[in-house]
Amino acid sequence: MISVASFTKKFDGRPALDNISLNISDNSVYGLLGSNGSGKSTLLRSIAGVYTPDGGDILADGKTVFKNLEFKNSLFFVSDEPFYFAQSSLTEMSGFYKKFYTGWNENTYRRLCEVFPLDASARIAGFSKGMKRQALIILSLSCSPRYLLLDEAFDGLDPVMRSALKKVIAEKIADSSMTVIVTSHNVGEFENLCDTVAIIHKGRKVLERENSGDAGNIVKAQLAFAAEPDAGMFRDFDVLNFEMRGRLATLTIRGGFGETQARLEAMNPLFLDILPTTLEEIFIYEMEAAGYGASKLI
Amino acid sequence: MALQNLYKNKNVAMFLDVMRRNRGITLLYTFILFLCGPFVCFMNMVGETNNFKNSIEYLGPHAFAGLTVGALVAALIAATFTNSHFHSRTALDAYYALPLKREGLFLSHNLAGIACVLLPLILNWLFELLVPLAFMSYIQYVPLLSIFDLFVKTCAMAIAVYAITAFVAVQVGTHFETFLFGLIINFAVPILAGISMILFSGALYGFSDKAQALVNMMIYASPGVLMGYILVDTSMAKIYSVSVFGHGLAALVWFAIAALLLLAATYLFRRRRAEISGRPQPRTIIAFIIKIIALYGAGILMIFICVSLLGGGRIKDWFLPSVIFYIIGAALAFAMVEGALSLGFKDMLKKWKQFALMALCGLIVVVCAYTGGLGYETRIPKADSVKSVTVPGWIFESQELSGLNGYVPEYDTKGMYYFRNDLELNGLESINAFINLHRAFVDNREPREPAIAPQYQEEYSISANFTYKLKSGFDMSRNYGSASIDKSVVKDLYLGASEEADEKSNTLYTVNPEHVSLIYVRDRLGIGALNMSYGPTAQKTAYGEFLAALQTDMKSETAEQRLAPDKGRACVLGMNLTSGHSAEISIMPWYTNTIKLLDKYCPDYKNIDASEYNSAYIFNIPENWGHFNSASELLSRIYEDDAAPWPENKVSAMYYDYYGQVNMLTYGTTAEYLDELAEKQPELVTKVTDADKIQAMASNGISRVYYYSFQPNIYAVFVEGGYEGYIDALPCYPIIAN
Repeated sequence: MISVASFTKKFDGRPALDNISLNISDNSVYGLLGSNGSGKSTLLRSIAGVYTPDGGDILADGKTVFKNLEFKNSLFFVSDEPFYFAQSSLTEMSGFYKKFYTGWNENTYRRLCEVFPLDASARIAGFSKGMKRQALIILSLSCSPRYLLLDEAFDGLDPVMRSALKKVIAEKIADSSMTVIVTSHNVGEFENLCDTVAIIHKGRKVLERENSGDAGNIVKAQLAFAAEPDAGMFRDFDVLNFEMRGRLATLTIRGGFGETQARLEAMNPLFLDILPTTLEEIFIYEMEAAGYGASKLI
Repeated sequence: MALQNLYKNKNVAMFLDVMRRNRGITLLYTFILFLCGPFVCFMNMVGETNNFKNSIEYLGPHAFAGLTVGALVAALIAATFTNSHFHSRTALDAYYALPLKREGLFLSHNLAGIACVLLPLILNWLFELLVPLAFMSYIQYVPLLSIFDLFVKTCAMAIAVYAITAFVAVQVGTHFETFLFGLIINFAVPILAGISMILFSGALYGFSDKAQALVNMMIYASPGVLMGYILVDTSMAKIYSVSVFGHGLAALVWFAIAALLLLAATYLFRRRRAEISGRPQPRTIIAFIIKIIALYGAGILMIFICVSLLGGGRIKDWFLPSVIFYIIGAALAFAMVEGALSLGFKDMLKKWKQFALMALCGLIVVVCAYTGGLGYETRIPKADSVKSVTVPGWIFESQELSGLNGYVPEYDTKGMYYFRNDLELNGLESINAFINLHRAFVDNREPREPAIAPQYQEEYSISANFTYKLKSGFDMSRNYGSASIDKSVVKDLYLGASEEADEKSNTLYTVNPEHVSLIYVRDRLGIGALNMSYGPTAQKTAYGEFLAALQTDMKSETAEQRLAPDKGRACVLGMNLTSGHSAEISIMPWYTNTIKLLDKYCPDYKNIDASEYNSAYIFNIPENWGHFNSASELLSRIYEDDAAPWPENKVSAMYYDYYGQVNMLTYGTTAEYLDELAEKQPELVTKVTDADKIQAMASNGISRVYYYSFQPNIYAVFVEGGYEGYIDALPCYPIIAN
């Protein structure tokens, strides 16, 4: 288990991560969502030991991750910009990584080379953006890491490869108890992938929740009234979003599910339906609540 | 324990991996080194095989200079390349996430970088040394120990250059900064010392470029400069001996510093913040040093511009404008460097305090230089604190061998000549003479004139450059360029120190008879070669006699005799040496032993035949005009004084012989100028055509013209045909009057 404990990282005196705390369970996929510059990549780099802390700590199984060679040997960080040596091929890069990761598995490497159709002897520099990412994913999974950090993992991958990657990740989690921490701008990617999702904004955690289909303390409801309702009648709710078409009102409300449903029913609607909330909606509403709403930007 | 072993193995793996990845550029570097070293050496050998005399010419330490320079340049580039991964955010994401300790990551990379510099060097060095030895049978003597010594120093200096650059690399954000700052930091101290040297030379009266502290800083504070100095020293050293082993301690110290720098860099790398990678770092100590150098250099440059704009005057008049120009220069430099380092000028105004602090550091030095250098200008050592005085050999020029002026000769056991250009005097009389000269300079310092004195001064002008070796172990050097001084002081100097100087520096004292290939005699005017008749005496025996007599006579000649000869020379004795050098010595009347031999072997030397001279011109020039060695020089002085305009298209060049040697000029039209001058300014030039008068002048003139001779300022030019034949100093007025 990785625990990010009151972690702070500053760039030029300005906090990129500000006293953030997270708990990442083993054998799970942990999704990090956030606005641009929110600190997602910084957090991944910090977990990987690339960045040194300015406050707090990151612990893996109770031990600090920085300069922890044992932990690093069990972790692979796939950066948003894949690194490879100039003029090197996938084969040559595999030769590089196998020297440093004791968990390197040649069989996994060969199998992944079949899954991701890349020419292992060709120069990586000649690959497309998506192919470079595939190459690094092959290398990372071949190291059999206990912790896999994927920064913008699906960026540049076509839908087929995305699907393949998701399958491979799921397979590895099942086979080898791997923990994956993944960041993405594409919230939709997380819907069926992540066990836990955290949203961070301006270096702070906005939300951390299980991705079980339960929207937590956000309720999306559709109500129909006999007469056209007055928007003011919902003023006692913490309304995140409100739309009205004639006598039909659609609301997104922050609050406990049972309590909110009871209060809405108390308003005697002709019809009340609790709708499923997508992760994207949660993201948007939470970000709006954090002052990052599109309405403020435009 | 298992983890420790793992850690060790991974570092070795990284070391080998870096070596493997750099194999392409290492091969290229090996080839370039081959071109710089062995290739050039072999070509020289093959080309010169037929004329081969000495293997040292081809396989001495100097033959490895190309490899040495190549290794130093490679060290700078290799350190930049090797650490370039740490300046890439993408690469750092991979490297820092690897299960390697950061210190291991850094050391494995940089040790591999050093290996990539040294391995090709070793290969080429061995190749250049062993191939000729194996295949060229005529290689007889190779100073292996010296070559090994140079190799070890080259390795040490290359490692030092590498370590400095790697130390810079840890603190900056881009490889461009690594290369540029590494280059500058490698030479930072010599650059600062050099700039200060130029400032002090212009502003500090008596400042010597031998200033011990600054010179040491310039030589020893940079491995690159030190290696260059070692190379030059090696090429000038006695290659048969082991004197090339100098600077060994300095090399050793630099090697130790390199090791410490690498350790310090490793420590810094462990704490290095990954986020600085890929971005210029204007706030590091390295950037601070770069700014100081830039501000100081630009400020001093502006002072030079200021001085050139002022175009002369006294130093005290330069002070305020120089300070203003310094500040302007420093501000411009600060703006440029800050703009370059910060990629813009946005925050520049906020850094005015930093600018003020940096500018003030340099300004203190400038003010110090313009106000006497904290007593530098007036400091004179006491005689009892001085161990010796070192001066350039030519300051006491005597009967030198031609081509060797300024050098003190030494001979080794194989009869080879070596020369050093300084002369150490440790006699109390000599030391006192120099202290008196020094005091005279100091007393005359006000008003202090610019270092470049007017071409002609009212007082006697002298240049002096001397270094006291103090008993405290320190050196104290002073250099006065064309400074005005009382003539009597110069005379006292000559009287006080010339005997010891002559004893130590006169080349002829060390010539052996077997070195002499020819001795000949000319008349007192130095014209023609007279017949020698040795009779039954073997020529070589006679040469030995002449040499012994000459050495005896010259050693017994007093300074007073040299300064104020009451007669002209008796004749000129020429000598050619087997080494290719030659000498023409004026035989003075008090050279009794030599004259006895001349009477015996060449009695015609007394007969002066001036019949071929059809005219002579006598100059009666003002006393304060100083000394002249040729008619052309005299004419130049006269025409420059606007006494008469230069004749058009007649004289376009003149020849100065600073050492008082008479020169035969070949300007075919000299007589025309002299005629013109004699006609226009008879009070300055008198033309003599009477054959008897010319003969009298030729027979009685004082012929030996020395820079420090204090003769009446009367000269005669004897003209043969249309050519200037000989310029002579005349002993007295009556000859002219008659």
